[in-house]
Amino acid sequence: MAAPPQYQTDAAAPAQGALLKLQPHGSTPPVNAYVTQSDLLVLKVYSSASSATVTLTWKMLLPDGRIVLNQQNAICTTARSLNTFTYPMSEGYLLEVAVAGGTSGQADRTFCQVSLAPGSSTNFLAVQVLCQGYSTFQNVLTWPNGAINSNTTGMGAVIDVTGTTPGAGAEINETIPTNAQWRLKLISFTLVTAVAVANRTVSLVIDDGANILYQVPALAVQAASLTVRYSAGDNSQNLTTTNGIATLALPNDFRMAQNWRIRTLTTNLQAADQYSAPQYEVEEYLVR
Amino acid sequence: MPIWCCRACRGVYSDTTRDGGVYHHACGPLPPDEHGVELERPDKRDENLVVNARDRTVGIRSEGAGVTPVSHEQLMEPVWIAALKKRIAKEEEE
Repeated sequence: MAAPPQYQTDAAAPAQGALLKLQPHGSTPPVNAYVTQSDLLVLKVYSSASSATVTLTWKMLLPDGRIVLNQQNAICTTARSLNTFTYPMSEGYLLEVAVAGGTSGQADRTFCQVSLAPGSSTNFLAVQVLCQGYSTFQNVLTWPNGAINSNTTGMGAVIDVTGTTPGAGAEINETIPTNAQWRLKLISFTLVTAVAVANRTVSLVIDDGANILYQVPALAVQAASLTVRYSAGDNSQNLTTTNGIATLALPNDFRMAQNWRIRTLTTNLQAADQYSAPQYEVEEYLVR
Repeated sequence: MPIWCCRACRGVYSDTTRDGGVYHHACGPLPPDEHGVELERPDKRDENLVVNARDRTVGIRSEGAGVTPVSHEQLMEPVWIAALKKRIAKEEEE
């Protein structure tokens, strides 16, 4: 029987001398980001909230050998709009960059990009993207060794929206916001019909702002003085009205671009009929 | 969460979603005419952003007939739109 293998458990034990030859003096940093006073560190932020706060931290090696840490908070003022922040550099080597923050407890709602760009704060051109992706207080974007992720990577932010309650006799109409791409997962609304005698047929419509891409009518008509809840979800099938609840068919996993609309189109809708505000859940990507 | 009534379509909405996101109201088209054609409202309000070729936000698409506050009478328009206008004015000054 062979003897069991022997393991060295004390790594400090073998004092065999310095095997690694280090050159602490005159060596170049392990990064390729030499920057000068004409360079800017540019932070671009999109968020679906109007008050996302992002913290940008970077470490510099200065010509005199000092390593300094810089930190700036960037506060976004407009949702789904480009917020650009520029920070002038001093001459030296950019060693590390980290971006954290966004909106508290909400994943994938703040997209950040950090780049190096020569120029001024009003006129610059990015020459190197250092890191980009969706950021939270826990999900920190870093350079080097961080990822450069597309804004359509991942599952998207889960957003729960209460839409507009239409006026009496008006249809539901929801528009996909500028700089957003949505995947509709669930939608539900009610129609309360007035006493005017007519058979209303509710349709759910997806259009691109002008042309209808998808339209599905309910299986059953809705007569006067009734309340029916209509619901649709990812891959749902049409089901007739039962106990005041109807289900509408919806395709699976389709994406809608900015300006597209989710709306109803109702045959025989009467002036006093009232739709509720639609409640819907979408997965959102911030695109531009 | 401030609630608004659109003076064009009479729709009622909150400018903020429950989880803190921004809601952009846009009026729907008019009911179809006898030929089935749906025309846009002449005073349509659309709070979605207009972005120029340089990625700069230059405003909302259309003020339309404006809004009336339902819950916060001291406000003239959604806070995020007022902040956007302030930001645009500052950027134009610079």
